[in-house]
Amino acid sequence: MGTTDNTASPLTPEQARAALQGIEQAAAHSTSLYRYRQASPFFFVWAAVWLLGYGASDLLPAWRGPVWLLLDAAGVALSVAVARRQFLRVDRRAGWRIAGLAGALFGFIFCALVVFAPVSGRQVSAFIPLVAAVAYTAAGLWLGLRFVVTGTLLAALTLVGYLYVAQHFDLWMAVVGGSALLLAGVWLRRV
Amino acid sequence: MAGFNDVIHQPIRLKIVATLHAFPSGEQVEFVRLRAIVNATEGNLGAHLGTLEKAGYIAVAKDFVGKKPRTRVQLTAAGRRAFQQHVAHLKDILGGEF
Repeated sequence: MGTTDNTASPLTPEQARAALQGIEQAAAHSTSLYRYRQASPFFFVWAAVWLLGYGASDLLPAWRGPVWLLLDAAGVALSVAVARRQFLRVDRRAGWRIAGLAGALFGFIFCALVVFAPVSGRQVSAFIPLVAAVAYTAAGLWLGLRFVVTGTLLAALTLVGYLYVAQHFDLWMAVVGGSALLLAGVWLRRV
Repeated sequence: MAGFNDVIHQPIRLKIVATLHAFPSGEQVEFVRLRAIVNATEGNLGAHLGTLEKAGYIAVAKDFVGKKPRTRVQLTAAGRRAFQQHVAHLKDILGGEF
């Protein structure tokens, strides 16, 4: 067991201050890395959803509606399952919070599309990832820089595809958008 | 005044314990990940973990994932308390400045 001495400390105030600053930095770094790692599986889930959803929209445009409904439901269900497994020890309501977040986001998207109607399929396809990008960027202001970078990059890639790859936008989002989410998930796992 | 803890206060060990303390209670961290976080060599980290384990501040679990050996580390309740007492001691020295 370590020596604990209740008499005079061997440390000067400067040494104590330096030690506390080092502890703060280590704790902040550790907390960020822990949050990144916890978030990583969600990026893998939605990378798969985007790859399949946008891919199907490009190959089978007549089926985009039902395909996206099914994939989004699966994505939310998987995200809830991941949250329950990962956060059960520290947050028993994690699954409900994720479901609530998904409901809020989809509700916002629906309302926005009603307000902006009529909208084209391409506009809808671009709007949804932009909402996700804003959500990641905003979350990053509290959770860490990697979320900000991911959100910003996603928004930029979406806009590039929307403006310059109009004819193959769905394919662009499947490959580029899906890959961006996949790489973000890998990046978040790394130290 | 809470006590100075010479086991925890060594720079690398302080970083190790501060890192582990930031994780939720009971959370295990893999050795390779901890090594990357505290930026220590394998031997150096192993030696310091041995000291902390001997003091009862960490628990080390070894198992296999398939055929690959895996070592995981977590802060014990005693380690959590000792770290918090040491931090309180450091803050006492500064008289409420921190």
